[in-house]
Amino acid sequence: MGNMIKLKGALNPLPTLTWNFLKLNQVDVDWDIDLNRRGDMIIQNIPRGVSVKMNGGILDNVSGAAGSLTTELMEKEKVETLGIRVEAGVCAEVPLKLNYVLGEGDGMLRRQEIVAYEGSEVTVAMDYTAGRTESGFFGIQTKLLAKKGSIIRLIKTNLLGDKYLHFEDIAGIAEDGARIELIEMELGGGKNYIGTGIELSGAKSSFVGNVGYLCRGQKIMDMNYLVRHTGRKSESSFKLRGAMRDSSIKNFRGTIDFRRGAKGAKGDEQEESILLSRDVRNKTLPIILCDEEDVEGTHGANIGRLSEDVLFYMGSRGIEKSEVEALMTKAKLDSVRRLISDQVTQGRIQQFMEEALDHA
Amino acid sequence: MALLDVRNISVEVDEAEILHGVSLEINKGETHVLMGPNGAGKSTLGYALMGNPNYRVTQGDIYFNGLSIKDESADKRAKAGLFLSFQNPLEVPGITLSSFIRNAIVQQTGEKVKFSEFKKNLKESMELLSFDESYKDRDLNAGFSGGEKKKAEILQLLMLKPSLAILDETDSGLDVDAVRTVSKGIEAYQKKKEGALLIITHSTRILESLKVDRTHILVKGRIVKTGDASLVQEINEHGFEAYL
Amino acid sequence: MSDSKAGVKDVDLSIYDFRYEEKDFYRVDEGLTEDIVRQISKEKKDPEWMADFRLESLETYRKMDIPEWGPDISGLNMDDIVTYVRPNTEMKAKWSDVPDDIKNTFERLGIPDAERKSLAGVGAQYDSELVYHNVKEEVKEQGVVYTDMESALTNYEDMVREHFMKLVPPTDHKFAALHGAVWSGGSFVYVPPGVSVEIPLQSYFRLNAPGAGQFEHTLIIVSEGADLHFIEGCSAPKYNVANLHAGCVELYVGKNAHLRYSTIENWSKNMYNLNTKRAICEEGALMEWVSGSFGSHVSYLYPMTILKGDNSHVEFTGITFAGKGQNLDTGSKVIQIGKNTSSAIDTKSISKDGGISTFRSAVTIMPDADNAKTSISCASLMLDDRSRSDTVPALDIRTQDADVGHEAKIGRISDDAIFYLMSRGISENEARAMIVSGFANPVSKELPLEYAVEMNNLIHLEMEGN
Repeated sequence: MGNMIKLKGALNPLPTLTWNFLKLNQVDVDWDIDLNRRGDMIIQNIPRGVSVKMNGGILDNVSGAAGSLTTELMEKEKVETLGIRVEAGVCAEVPLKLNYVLGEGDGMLRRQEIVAYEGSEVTVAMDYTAGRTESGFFGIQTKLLAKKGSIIRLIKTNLLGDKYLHFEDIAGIAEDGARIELIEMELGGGKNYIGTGIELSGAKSSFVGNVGYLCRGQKIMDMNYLVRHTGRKSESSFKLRGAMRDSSIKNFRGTIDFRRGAKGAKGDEQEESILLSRDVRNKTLPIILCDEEDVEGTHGANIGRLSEDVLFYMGSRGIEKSEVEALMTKAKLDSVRRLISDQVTQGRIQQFMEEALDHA
Repeated sequence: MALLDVRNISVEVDEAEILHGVSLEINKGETHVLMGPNGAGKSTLGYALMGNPNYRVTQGDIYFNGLSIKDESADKRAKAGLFLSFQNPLEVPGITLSSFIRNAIVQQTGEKVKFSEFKKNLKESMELLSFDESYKDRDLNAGFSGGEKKKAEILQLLMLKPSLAILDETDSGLDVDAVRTVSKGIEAYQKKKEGALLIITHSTRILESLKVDRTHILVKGRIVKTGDASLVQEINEHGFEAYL
Repeated sequence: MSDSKAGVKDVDLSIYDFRYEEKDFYRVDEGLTEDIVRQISKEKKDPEWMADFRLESLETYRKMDIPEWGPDISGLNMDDIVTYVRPNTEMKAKWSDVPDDIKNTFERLGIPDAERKSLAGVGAQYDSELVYHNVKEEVKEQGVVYTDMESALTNYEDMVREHFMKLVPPTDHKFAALHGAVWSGGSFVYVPPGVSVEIPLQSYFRLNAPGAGQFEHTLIIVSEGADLHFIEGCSAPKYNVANLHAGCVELYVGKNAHLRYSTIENWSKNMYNLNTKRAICEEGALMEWVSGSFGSHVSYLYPMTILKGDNSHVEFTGITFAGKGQNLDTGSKVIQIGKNTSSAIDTKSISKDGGISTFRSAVTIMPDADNAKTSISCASLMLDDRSRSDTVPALDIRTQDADVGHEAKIGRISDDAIFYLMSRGISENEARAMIVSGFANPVSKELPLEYAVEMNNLIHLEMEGN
């Protein structure tokens, strides 16, 4: 039997408020969740110099963009933290893989931390999988601390079932000269609430984010990304690419927050989305907050239907419109998929996309 | 008294010393050429002479018309009669080329400029440079091609009439015709305005029609050789290898 | 600077900061009660429907909350704002009949001058009432109506009733409700079908009495195929008591009509500017907004355009300069409903001396707005490290058939650009002012010359500091 819990409150709050009519200031949730703690986590390829164990978290003070509700839930449900520590100077060549395998009706909460000590480098790949039409719940919180000169590369592949309720809370800090890279493929799930907050506190620290998404069917994709620049000469670059079809809903909030003192900081955020159905609803809110003079912030967005030029060009090669749409969707997502080196994950993504686009 | 007297200057950029004790004297109306391989510090010397705050003179001094200008800001040096043609001129949206030049003249001379006279001079100078007149109403350098930017620099040289002009790689990225046009402008400055020149270049095309008085070779932040116009020819044939 | 459009040096700041003693003015009690609203109705000889409308609006005002986003307006105490201050004169048709002190005010602002030069009509509002109004004969002959709102309520009652606060209903937000309750003065313009008004109509608002609120209503109807440029200028002298401006502008742009609405706002730096402006465009109509915000302590200003008709378009060009003690939250809202509609928002903001500027926008593309286009471009310039500049542009796209482009840039004046200008003999301060003027140029070039000059003066004043 299950363990019904209530999750009530706000997710993905905006760092600054705007008009209420836009309904982007936060997401009010009131969910009854069957937290039966079924679902598995399988850890593969623990590299030399990397330790993985269940213990108390040390990054309690690190918070991201998903709001306090997720942390409150983790505490209340006493979810243990999986601690991943990368020793100083260690360069882990093979990615550490965390496979989250879920099935019909599963409900799981997970909490993990990655601490990369001075000068180390690690890649952690998280694959979330469930059957394509399955329902369930998966909530996960990942905290990152990249110490001086280290690199953390976090890869997330969401291949959950169409009726899955999923929230993600990623919060990270990069110290002097450290770098956090995020590669995210948001393909599955029914209702997805993704909150990612990265603080570039160190001098010359950096963040590179590449997110690919596919919204189809009745899917809801609610995203709140925040990059806070507090370190001098810190740099961030964020790219969101994807496609929307059927009657899916996407809310994308992306904020670059330049705090006073972040002299010489640079931040860039770009979105490219193609809309493939009359019934989609896309909201985009790209925010720049600037409390420092000596910075460069840029934003760009390109959202809309496939261009006539593309359709005509492809048409002149005998390709039908529906096929052009599938091709262009793949092209958008492939630009992110290619950043993932793991062959198994690549294969899973490929298979998921073929099915998803076939059943469109 | 030399017009420009550079006495043993060392220059730092981002805390790295680029020039190590460079000395140079240019007299009124003389044309000097500064040559050297990439990264020798040629542009650094140009910026340091013009007073770019990011280029710090850590030792030595710079005299212009007998007065030290080492601690003067760029606008004061310009008013004193110094001019630098930039290798990559900045784009300044919202200010037209003509109103910019007029402004600069007013600022430098402190006098009002007669509009009709200004218009006439501008037109003549633009014709000399085969510079389409419509460019005078376009925003300063904004959307100009490489060649147009260089022409806009030489146009400013002709209009502002400095006593010494430093031309930083004015010929780079230009086709044969454009080099010819630009050197026509430089010649006009040299002859009519009796202007002195310090031409920074690593090619020799621009020098063909100009009378060169002295040639300096700059390598790794030091002037390793100074000679007459024939040195240009020598470099042209043998390159810098002998000096590396 | 020597170019006439690029600005004039040595501007006398005091022309924007002078006042005359108020005397023998009629004032209502401070604060806002039903009695005060009734008193206003009586005083203004409102028709019954308008008197009822005011009371309903007051009810709405009381029920609504102040917004939880945007700049702080807690310094605004409604009880301290005198809603209705009427100068002691009737409206005058001849400039010479206007009392001297009021006339001096406008003369110092150059209003009659401007009228003589190039404007088809001028309406000048002094505190809550329009004191001077004149429309050139040839414009009148074309059938154009340009009058104060009170006269319009008498002479064009049906037209006013049909349009008044229909675009901006009192329920829109708390200050729209306040406006509905206590509105007073403003302009009414009607341009008949097919009529092109060749020269701009202009109104100039000025607040003189300390602690007074100004709630003028502007209603403009541009009929099918007609063309109008309307210019609105605002200023107020400086007082220690907070001033509130909660005006309302409603613009009806008919089929294939064109309306350009230009504003240079230079309220004194203690003003709370909570103005609501809205336009609705029928088929094939073109709405253009040119908006410069320089004054006020706090501004909430987002002119909105509803592109109802197919093939209708809007262009919004704006500049905001937030200096010391200013928190200016400005931008634009667009709703695209018709097919083949397009919107273009292009704004610049400048922050200096601890000033805060926020660009805020919302563009909504409705499900049936086939082939909709929108482009939003905002650039912000930070002039020192004590100031702040935020950009909050929202897009809500409810159809596939849209083409959406957005660009935002934030940064400072590059040292290289300063050095380049200085190497031509221009002083550092002048180089900065030139670059800022250049940054603002896309807006000033959209303005009539005398306004462009005024705007450049304002920029130079701001750049020179206090």
